Amino acid sequence: MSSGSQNFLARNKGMLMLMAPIVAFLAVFFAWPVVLVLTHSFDGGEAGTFSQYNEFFTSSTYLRIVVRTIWVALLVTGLCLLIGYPYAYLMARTKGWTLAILTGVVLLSFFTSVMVRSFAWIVMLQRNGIIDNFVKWLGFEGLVLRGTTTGVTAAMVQVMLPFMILPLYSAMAGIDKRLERASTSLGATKWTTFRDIWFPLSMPGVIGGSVIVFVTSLGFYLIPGLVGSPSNQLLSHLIYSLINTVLNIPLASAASVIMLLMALLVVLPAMMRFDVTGSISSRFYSEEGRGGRQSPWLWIWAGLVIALLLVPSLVVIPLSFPENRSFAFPPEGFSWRWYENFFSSREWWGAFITSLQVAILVTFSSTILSVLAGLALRRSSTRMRTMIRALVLTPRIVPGVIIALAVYGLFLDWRLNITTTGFVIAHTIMALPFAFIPIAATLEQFDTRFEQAAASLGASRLTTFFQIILPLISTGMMTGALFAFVISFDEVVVSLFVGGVGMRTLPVQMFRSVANDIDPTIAAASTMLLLLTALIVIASTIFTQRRNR
Amino acid sequence: MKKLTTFVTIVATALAGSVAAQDKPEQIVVANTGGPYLQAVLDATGKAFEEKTGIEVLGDGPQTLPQLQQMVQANRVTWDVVEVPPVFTMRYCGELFQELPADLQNYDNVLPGFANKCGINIAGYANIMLYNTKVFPDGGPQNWSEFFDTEKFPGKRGLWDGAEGVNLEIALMADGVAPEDLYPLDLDRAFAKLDTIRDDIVFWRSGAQSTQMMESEEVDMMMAWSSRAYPALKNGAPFEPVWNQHIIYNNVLTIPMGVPYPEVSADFIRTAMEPAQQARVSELYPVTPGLIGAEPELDEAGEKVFAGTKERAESAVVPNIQWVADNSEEINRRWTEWLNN
Repeated sequence: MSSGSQNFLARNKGMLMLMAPIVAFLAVFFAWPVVLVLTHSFDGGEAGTFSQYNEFFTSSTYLRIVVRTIWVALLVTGLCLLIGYPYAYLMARTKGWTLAILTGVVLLSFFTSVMVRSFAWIVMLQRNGIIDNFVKWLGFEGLVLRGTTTGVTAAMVQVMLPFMILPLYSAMAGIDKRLERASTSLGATKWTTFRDIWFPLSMPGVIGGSVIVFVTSLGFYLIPGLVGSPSNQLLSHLIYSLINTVLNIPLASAASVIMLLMALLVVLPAMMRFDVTGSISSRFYSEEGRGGRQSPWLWIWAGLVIALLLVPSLVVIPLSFPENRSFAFPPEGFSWRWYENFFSSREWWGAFITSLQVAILVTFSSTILSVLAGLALRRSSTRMRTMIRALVLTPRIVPGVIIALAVYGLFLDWRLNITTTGFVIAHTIMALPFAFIPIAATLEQFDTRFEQAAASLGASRLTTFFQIILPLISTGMMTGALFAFVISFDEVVVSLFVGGVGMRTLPVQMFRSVANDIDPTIAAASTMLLLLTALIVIASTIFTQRRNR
Repeated sequence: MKKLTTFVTIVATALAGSVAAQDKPEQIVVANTGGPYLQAVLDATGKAFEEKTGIEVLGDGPQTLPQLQQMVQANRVTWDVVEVPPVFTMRYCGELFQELPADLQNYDNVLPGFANKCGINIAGYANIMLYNTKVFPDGGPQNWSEFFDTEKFPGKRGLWDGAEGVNLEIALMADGVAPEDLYPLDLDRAFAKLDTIRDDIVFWRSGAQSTQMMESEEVDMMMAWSSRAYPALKNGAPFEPVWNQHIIYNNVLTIPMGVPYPEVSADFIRTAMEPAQQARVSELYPVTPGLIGAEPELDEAGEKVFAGTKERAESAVVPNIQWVADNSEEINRRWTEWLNN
């Protein structure tokens, strides 16, 4: 037995050393403090170890909230799939500028701050808001979706859609289009071909996208918290209020454990059967089967999806110019004062700089950790791979407030709160799943024979890495790095805890200005973020187009 | 030899410096709900304290209970003075908050019922009713009974999403319970009354949301904190406050357990309780002074929502915070249950 494990260690020394940094990082800064918090769920005192669970499961209210949470998460996942599938299909069928535009829209939406979009949705859905007034203008009685499950679902679908479309597209882009030709030449109808060939082959994307959307929806706090109503609250909100108003951490921990188990119940089987991470990769792009004529219905559908993805964010633009400190829509008067405030106020400008610094550092830390882990993944067994993936992806499943509480407690001991280091560590935990997915996927698909060839020609391991591997995985690495940057630049919940006097990030400042203050500077900040994102997306689209030509 | 003298001088200076640093910090941090109110506190009390002591006052917010608990447990408290709802000091006195010096306990000139050994009334507001004057040009509801009368006054009603201190009380008053007979609260009766307007309620979670609700006329009538009604009225929102059966509420200033300079924290509280500072904060942000008799100079919108006038203070309903604190878990559980059933 012991010699067996020694053998294992000796055989896998390289792999274990590559994996050590990410495992150690997550163990120390994530797993350990989170487990500490979650063990509070067994603080029953005299009532017994499981009394919190007993209380939770005997309350019809809590059970109803759990059922509602699952229902909303399923609904959001289903709708995203339904809306996103035809769009991704069209993407896989087009090339050149059309494809660039279709992709650009998804990326623009994906990179638009969640705070900006939550804010936009409030303005859209409230009474006398845009939708309500539009429906009244059409001659109906009006439609107030703020505070309804429908409103929350709509907003969540809009926010989650890119998480569904991107994996769907990369799965479809990898389908060998010759299979279709073979199918039709053998007499199959278009529909049969789609049902028996295309759809099954796109399954990894369907599963990958659905898992991410479902799990994220389960623990989503911002949209349900800002757009929803307490009378149809979701589990994440219950956990927040248990912690924030009555300091009932044992019961909140029990609720979190239950949420974690629900997520694992979905994720683990999917991860065993399908290569969830592999589906979100940039496979070899092929022009085969692209560029033909597509059904007009597909184009109409794509137009609607583009509207859904872009229009809600645009409402922040007019809201950034009011004369008064007000969020009323339509805004009254015109002034640049909120833009001036952004650049002159220490709070806003300072927060922006902090966010930028932290995000850049997080980009490096997450990318390096992910590349090392990805290299380890290539050398390990299937079971090992599943375990590594599960470890890196768990920060995605644990409710944000629990991570926040855990990290905050740990950082108090280590004096890391309100420091750049603290922010970078906390954000790296949140960013790792996103950086790891594309990086690991490219590394796994990377053809080992290049490596062997280099080695046989006498290149050292290090030379092989820098001369051969790095250039070949650069696309995946850039994608991962970009994801890490965006996640860090967008993080709210953990930053609310880790930050403090003199050191806050931009999303936290935005959250404060929606929750505690009526400050149109948020709209000015949102508008500028939107423009900046649009510029970056457009520039990179043009750049890739030029290069491809 | 010369080197040695220099060395001794340096060590002596360093020692003196560190001793001085132990007596007095360079800066302290005051935490409250944040936003414009925090700014007002920093501009008024913060500046005055800095002039007096040379200690810089920084602000933090929003303050949260779990953050404070973590700080105290880890013995790394970075908030020197914290403003909290009195329910917190009543539940966690001696646990998260330390006892104030004797001169700050049993303070004479504050409303009774909010302070205890760990907290002193600093500022407050009234939970008032406001109605939309466009929707009800001939006058809206004048008491909570009418607020709950959906036939006489149809329309959407804005309520705060919280269990403690307001909603159950107004429901009982609407059902005919006299203000002095409210406690102990009859929870079944209160929730039954709330049931009658359930479909017409729009909840707000934060003070800023309630302001926004009035400005965008999202509701036809609402319960709002008087201080949060101010910016809306100032921006011209068509809402009229009703000064009848309003529930007065005071927040308290506290010193967390384990702060490095408890004496400095106490000094800050003493400065904050000076009539001049109390009036100044209210002028910058229309909270009601905790100190009775502070006289801020207000603009028109400020006058409309200021809860500290003699008449409004005397007619106010005072909640029994101790009872609410003692029954906090039960009230909150029932509230969540009612919301989600």
